[in-house]
Amino acid sequence: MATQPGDYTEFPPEIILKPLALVGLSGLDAINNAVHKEIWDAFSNNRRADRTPVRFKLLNNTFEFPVVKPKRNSYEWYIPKGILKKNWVHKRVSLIPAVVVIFYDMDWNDPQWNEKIIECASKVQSIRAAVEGHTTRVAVVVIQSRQSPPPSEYMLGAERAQALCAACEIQSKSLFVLPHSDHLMGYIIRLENAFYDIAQNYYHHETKNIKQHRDHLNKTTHQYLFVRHQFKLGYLNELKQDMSTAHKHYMHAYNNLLETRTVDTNIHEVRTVAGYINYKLCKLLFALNLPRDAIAQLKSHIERYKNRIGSTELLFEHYAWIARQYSAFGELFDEAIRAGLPAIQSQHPGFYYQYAAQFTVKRRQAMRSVCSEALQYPPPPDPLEGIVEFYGQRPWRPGRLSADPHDPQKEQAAILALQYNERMFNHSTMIINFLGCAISQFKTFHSPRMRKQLVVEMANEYFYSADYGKALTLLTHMLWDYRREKWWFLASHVLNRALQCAYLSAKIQDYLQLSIEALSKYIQVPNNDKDRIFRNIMSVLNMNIPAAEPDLPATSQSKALELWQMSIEKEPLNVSVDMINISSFLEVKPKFKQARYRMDEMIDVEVYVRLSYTTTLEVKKSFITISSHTETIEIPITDEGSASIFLQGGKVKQFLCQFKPNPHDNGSELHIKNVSFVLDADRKRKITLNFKMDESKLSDTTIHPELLHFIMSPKADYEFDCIVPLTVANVTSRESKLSIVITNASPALQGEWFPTTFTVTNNEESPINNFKIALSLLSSPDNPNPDSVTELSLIEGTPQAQPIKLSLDTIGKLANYSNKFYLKTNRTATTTVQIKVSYIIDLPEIAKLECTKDFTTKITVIKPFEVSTNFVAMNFRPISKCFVDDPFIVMPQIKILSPWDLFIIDTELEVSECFRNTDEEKSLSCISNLEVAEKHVACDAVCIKAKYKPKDIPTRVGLYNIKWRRKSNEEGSCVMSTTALSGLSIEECPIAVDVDYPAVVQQLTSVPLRCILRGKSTNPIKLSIAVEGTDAYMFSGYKKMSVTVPPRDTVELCYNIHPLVAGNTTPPRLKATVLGENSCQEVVNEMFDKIFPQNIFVMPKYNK
Amino acid sequence: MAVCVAVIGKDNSPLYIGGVGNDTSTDNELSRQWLVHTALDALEERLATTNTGNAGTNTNTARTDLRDLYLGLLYSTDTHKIYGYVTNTRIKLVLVTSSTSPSGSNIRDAEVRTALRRLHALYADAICNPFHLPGDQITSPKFDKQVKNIMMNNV
Amino acid sequence: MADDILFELLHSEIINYSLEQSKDNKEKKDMDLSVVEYIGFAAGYKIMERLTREWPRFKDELDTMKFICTDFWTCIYKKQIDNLRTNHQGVYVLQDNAFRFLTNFSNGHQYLEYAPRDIGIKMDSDGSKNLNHNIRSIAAYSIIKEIQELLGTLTLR
Repeated sequence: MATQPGDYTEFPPEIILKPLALVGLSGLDAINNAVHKEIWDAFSNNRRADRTPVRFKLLNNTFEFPVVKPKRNSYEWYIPKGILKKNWVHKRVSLIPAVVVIFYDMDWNDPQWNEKIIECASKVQSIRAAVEGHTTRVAVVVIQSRQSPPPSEYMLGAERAQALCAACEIQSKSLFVLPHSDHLMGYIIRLENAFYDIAQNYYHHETKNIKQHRDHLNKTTHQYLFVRHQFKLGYLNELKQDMSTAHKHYMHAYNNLLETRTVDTNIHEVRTVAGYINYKLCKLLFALNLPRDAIAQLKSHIERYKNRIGSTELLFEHYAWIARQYSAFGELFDEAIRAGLPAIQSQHPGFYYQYAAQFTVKRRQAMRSVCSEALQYPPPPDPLEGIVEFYGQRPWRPGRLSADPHDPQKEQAAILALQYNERMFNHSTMIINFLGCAISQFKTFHSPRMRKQLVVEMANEYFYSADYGKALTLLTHMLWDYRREKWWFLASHVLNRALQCAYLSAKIQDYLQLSIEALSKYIQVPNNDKDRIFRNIMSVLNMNIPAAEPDLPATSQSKALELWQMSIEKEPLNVSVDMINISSFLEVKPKFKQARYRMDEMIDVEVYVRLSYTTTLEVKKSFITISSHTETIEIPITDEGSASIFLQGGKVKQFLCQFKPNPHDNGSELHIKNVSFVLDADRKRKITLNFKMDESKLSDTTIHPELLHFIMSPKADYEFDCIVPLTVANVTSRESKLSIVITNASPALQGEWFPTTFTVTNNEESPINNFKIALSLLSSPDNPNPDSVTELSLIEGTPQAQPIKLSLDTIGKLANYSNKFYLKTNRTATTTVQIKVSYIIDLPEIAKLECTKDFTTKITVIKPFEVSTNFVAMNFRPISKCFVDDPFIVMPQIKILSPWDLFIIDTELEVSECFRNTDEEKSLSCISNLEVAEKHVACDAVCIKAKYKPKDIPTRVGLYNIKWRRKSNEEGSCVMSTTALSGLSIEECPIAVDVDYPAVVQQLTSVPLRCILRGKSTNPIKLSIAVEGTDAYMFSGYKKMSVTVPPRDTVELCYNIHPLVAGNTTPPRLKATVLGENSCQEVVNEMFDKIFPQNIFVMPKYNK
Repeated sequence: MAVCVAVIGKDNSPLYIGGVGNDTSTDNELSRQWLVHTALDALEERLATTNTGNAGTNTNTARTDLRDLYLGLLYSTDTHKIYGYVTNTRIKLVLVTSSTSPSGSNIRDAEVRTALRRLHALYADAICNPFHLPGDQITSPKFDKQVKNIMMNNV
Repeated sequence: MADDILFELLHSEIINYSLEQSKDNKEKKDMDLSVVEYIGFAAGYKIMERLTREWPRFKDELDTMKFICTDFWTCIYKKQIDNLRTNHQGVYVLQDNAFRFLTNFSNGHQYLEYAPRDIGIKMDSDGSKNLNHNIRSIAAYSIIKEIQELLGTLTLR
């Protein structure tokens, strides 16, 4: 009995197997005949759930059917020896087919038809003989190699089929034809269904048979038979796939069994069978989609049997049985869920696996209490040897029903054998198995905490079975969650167990880490003996074997000691412990003193350390790790210059670390990555306590600092808790000591190249090298995208790409550098120019330090002047329109806005398309070479006339160009400013009038007046001309007349006027009325009105 | 009779766990802690379904029940029945009765509800203790005594 | 009526006291502000447990906010919130047009704004005014933290 005894509680396979109608296939040679093999494969392979619930069995020639028992005529004297025969189900599932199908190759038109029919009949006959006594049905399948016969042979086929039926003595509905063709699978499916029908018929018949027996039974002696028969009926109905009837019969069987009297001798049998029936019942209830009923059934089942313990010497069997009931139910439940049954958090298979585990634990307890003396397997003969006919019966007293053991000695030996086997049984494996199943179920059904508890139980089980490594792995994982949710009591429980495991497996790393956490104020340790744990840490550090944990199993201690002896002086010699994720006796808060440092400053980090465990801890070496984007450095933490520091229990100690920034880290961030404390006892082993600073974690401090005002704790604690760690600091450039002086004649004028002189002075203590300047424009809210309208350059008149870089070399101490830049902009706004200087300086503390400084200067840009326009007629009367070919004067006015005196070099009017200058050659501007100052207005005049009348009113008369410069800037380039002059509407008049009215006349002196009317259109124009006389004048000529102005020709009218009074007078004026078509009357009126003056000054005549 | 009463913070850390037991040995305390801790699974599940409101086929009456602070029986084991109550401030109250003792197994739902409501009131008073730090464990002996009283009175 | 004024007087005296404490120590100003913050937090934490005791379970965030704006506000400030707006992403804007502790001030004080999430108060030239909001802000903050994980931005004009 050296091997692990099998678990006798497991259900036999035939009980677990889903019952399927058994169909025997005979006459198929699946090995040698390819066609037969194909047919057999089609039947047997790929039997998914959607196929007919049938199991096929290939019967070879030697297959023997079980012998039929002789029919019993009377049950009167029959006393059953047990409840359920072990072989009955087995027979139904694999030995007695419901149908035997004989396959035979034969075509209807086979040439050897006669021989074949005889052979086939004899085969059928031999099968018949074999099944003699059973009511197994027989069917024949004729395999035909050809396609369906030609129509002429239909009759032949029908005839021969009938002949075959007759020869084989089968009904025609039991004869099938299987054409071996491409559609084999389709035929197979149809055959399957036909066989299934026959099988159902067979099982139905069988149930009837059994029911017949029932009448002969009586309750006093045949209680077992009631159970048996109902079980059989249930099973046959299951084979028939009639689930609800099957359930009914099983229920009867179950209830009948309940009525049997149980005594110590039959209890095992009764509960075994009850277990099987219950299993069947639950399985059917799940299949019938009645999961609640299944659960209720199991509950009542357990309830009924939980007190039927049987012999106390075999108490463990009882618990083993209950555990099996639960686990089997769990499997059924699980199966049902996989088939689509929904389950919820409060009702899922996990609970049943958990119960199974719990009862296995009880089984083990029972074993411990009753099997303690079963140290030896009983001497031969082995009482457990022997075959039993019935489920659940004892091999040493099969078929016995009486309550008293017939052979006390044998009974005793048997019990001893069972007890011994139980002692040898590995309960832990089984419990772990059940827990494993439960854990995965609880995980599925949203119960993370339940799962955790079960994992801890599992770890305990590994601990009991001395698999400390596995236990330790599980426990350390679980510890994490309890710690996170602050269930310190549970965390302590897990940690203490884990510490035991670590000790027993001599795992130094885990042992130290767990010990360190055990010293945390949150963790409770056995006997509150933290000193022991601290001493143990020191022992391991000193390469000594630590003292054993309390409450260890005695058997494992010596083994553990051996392990420690082997491993204490070996690796791992450097143990590092990640402190930030565990709660421990040492707490650290590092803090940059400032959030920002300049390159020339010392960076200082404050490190606060609190030792909460009451001891003095010597740390040999400690350092903080700081990383930037270029490097990671370690800065030692020292205590007044000494590398080893002493920490007092219950005290907070503050350390200051200082270091110089790396020149490469300019402008980047420094992060405190880690704070490490090295425990070292001058032996080879070191323990490094690492506090990794994860920024995301630090932000969620466990407790708000404000909340600590009311905490009842020592002052030192309060301060420590209130410290907010600062693990990031920025390093910025050193402040430059360069200065700049900017001189310019601001404001700048729009369009000019505006010069600015800047002078940078080195006020540093030493010369600077590699001096560089970059000029660029900065955008500002009121001046976005300055680059688009503004040019920047070092050379007047030539734009340069930005930033404009200047590389210079060394500038001595207090020396300066000067340069000039030009800015030209078309936008009147404030422009910001950045002057960025960078250089390298050698400082006493840091060599080759790069410094930068940004200077900016703001330059306001204004318009130099404003241009407006007036239009006047040749007589300087303002006009609002002009006529084609009628000259008029454009008068641009330049109003000077610039505070600086300007010099207008030249002006020019570029007329638009529809105008032209009246003078052929360009005349000199009348305001060229003019000096102007602020608020002056310079007025220009250009005579132009319209060429034609465009479709739309022209938007502008033309562009007015002004060439100018600052007066002070004599040699500088001039600026060309262009303004668009506003438009003027153009009219067309059919006639033009030329009158040579003099501007001034003398009193009483006749003036001849010639008026020329010029036809402009293609038609002659008839006018009635009248002179509007005044009292101030006399005149000669027609007062009123009609003229016809021929097209493109002229008519001349002559008058003499004679002014009578001096002064401003209104001269006689002509008025014209267009005769005939008079659409142009209005224009003609305007024309005449414009041409003839309203006023003429008459000089008085002095008589000399 | 309640055998155990627990107050659990909104971050699921235990604020108070009190038990009436024959002894106060570690084992007893341990099983109590396991019980309460695992009850959080059921509580969280219950709250999740309450909050999302996708309880599916629940009728209107069931929905009004969901707005009750008292969540009723969370689940029962062979030995214990566990009741839950979650305040509007996400403080979770758990009450455990023993199903093996006659007084525990016959307890009526209304009694548990009353007991938990009283516990809630006690809790509201307890945190008004100026020496109590919000989010910290409740260590007041007065509170402990009053809670034990609730547990005993429900016999 | 006397009860109400008692609370207001006590409140303003607490603020004055805290300010007095911080006056001589400029560097420690932030720490002393946190005393008021703590008072606000703790008061909110404690009062909330009582106020919500007889209340049915809050269905969602909005339910919680409604409670704050009506019942809670009335309890502390004797009036309801005038306007509640939300972006439906956890940010709520509560507006009280006549805040109890501000109605005693003369008109024309500046716009004040604070984010209870940080509990921090943007210091204004008029420190006491800010502090007057403090208890309320912290109380509101604590509710938010208590009941649901949501961020609140409260603005007050």
